[in-house]
Amino acid sequence: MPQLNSNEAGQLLLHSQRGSIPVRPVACFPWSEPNNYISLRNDAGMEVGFIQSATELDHSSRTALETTLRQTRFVFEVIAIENVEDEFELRTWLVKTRQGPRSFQTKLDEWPRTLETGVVMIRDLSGDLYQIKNPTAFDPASQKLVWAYME
Amino acid sequence: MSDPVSQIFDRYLDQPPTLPTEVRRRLEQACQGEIIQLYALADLDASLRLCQIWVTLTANYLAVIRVADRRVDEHIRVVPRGRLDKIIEQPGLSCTVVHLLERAEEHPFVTIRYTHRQRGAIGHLLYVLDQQLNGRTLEFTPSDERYREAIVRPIREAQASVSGNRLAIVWRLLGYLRPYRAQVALGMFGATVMTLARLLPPFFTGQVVDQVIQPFQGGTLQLAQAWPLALTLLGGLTVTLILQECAAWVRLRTMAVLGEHVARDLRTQMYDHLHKLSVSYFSSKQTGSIISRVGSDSDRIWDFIAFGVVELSLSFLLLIGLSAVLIVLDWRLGLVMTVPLPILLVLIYRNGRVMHAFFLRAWRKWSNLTDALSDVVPGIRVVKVFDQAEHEKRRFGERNDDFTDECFRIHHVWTGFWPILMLHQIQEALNRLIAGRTVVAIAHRLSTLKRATRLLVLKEGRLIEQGTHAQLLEIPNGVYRRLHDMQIQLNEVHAI
Repeated sequence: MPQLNSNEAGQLLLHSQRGSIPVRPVACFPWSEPNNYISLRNDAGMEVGFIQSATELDHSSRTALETTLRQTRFVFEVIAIENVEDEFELRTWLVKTRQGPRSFQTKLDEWPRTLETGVVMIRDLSGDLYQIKNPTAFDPASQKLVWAYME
Repeated sequence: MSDPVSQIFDRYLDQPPTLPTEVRRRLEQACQGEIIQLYALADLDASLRLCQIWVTLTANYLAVIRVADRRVDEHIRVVPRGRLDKIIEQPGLSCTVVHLLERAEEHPFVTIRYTHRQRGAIGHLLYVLDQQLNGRTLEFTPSDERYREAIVRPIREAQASVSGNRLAIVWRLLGYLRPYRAQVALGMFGATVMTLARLLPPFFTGQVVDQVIQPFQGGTLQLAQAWPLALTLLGGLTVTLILQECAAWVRLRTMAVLGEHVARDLRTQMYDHLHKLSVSYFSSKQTGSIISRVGSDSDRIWDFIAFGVVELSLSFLLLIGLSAVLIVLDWRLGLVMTVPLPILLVLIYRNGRVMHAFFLRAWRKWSNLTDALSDVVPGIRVVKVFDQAEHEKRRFGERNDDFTDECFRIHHVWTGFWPILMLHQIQEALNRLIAGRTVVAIAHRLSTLKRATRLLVLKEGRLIEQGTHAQLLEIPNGVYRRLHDMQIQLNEVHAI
């Protein structure tokens, strides 16, 4: 079973008989099982380890893996909408996220996508992702602003 | 006026347009006075919260500094560039982590985390460092533009050249009318004549009542005199109505044909422009969306030019014209009629905002529907070969129903809500207006007077009945009651 830990800089390290090597976790199919089937790649992109299931790791290895995955899987989590403004070719969103206030733009004909789980995802012009876990849990002002854009 | 890039930063981005002066000064001081050649912003900290960490390169140093709440951190991390041995980049969904490692050192001496928004600018830095690791030193002039252009590029690519200024877009659209000035002038002339002609019938009608009917009924005008006068006035009214219809025909025909010319020119220009665009544009756009732009969107332009522009201009003209006529006829009555206009305009604006949200939803559902079409129709043979027709029909049916439901919602709102709102708002406004005041109102429509606290019925100059609406209705065979019953019956007849 792979032994993992993180160094001070948050880099994930895989311990082996030859020493510690920095690795990055890459999710393999099926993505519907996010904690299973994780490939560990070195800086050359070659697989140097594989995790069938994160539950099989010891506690510290699992913590290190989850910390790194949190970065890899990071998306903004929107908690309130302050304004949505349409203009020519662009839609500007002014939102509060758990990560801080943010202003971003999407194309006018690119709409928020509602996933099967009910979570809404928005992709901005740069490719950053914004997640709305539960639009119905928004405050009334936010709900009024996003009503036109969501199911 | 600021340059376009600065305007994009001001309008859309919540980050500095350049390296702040104080930050630059502190960093260059820490780097032995070397000029900063390149810089970028890392906007996520170790806790993945938004922050401002500037990463800079001088000729010999890499320096990192954090700015929090507009205050520059005391701690500056400065590392000689020569100590860089390895760069490890770990991309993620919205966070990329880059570790810079020192020679013979396992721990990165710098780790930066940033969103995709900063990718372009940080990419410049990483490229320079990567070239350095490969033994190549790049010479370039220090400039803020590499950072600025990298950050604004996605917005520029998504935007048209006329951006942020809706008036500029409208002017540009109206510019398509320039080759057809004569037709525009003719159409506007017809529309103006039609609008002004609409103001005349009430005048003629009033003259018929004041100069013919009332004097005749009062016995001050004989039949022999009344007839020629009535015929003259009715003749004038008829001419006005004919003129109105002719002008309407001129306007409609001219502007409809003109709109087609403009739509044709737009389609041609858009199609020509499509052929100048890069391959990458088409890989990021859906075919259905492009077809829709050239086809149906240009149709909407026809509608706007043929009818929208003219209707809007004439509505204002009518509003101003009617107000002027009313004020000239009776300035007090005119003011009473025109003062509520600003309230009306505010209500129209507010209703427009409500309707805009409904139309957005409908547009979104329409996009879903056309997506289904643009997915299936080009690949219909594959659908048939793999026997997916039923699945695709079901998918289309769901989206079609979804879109139709949104349209029903819009119709429900604008047909049901708007008249009720208008009536309600006017009633509410009147109630507020008359609250705490004594109002004397003269009316022939009894429904207007139902709320009056006291009604006085005058006949031939004499007070014959008085009381509230309910009290007057109880008077058997009373004048008020007879008038009330007559109006109810008339309303029923018109309803049928």
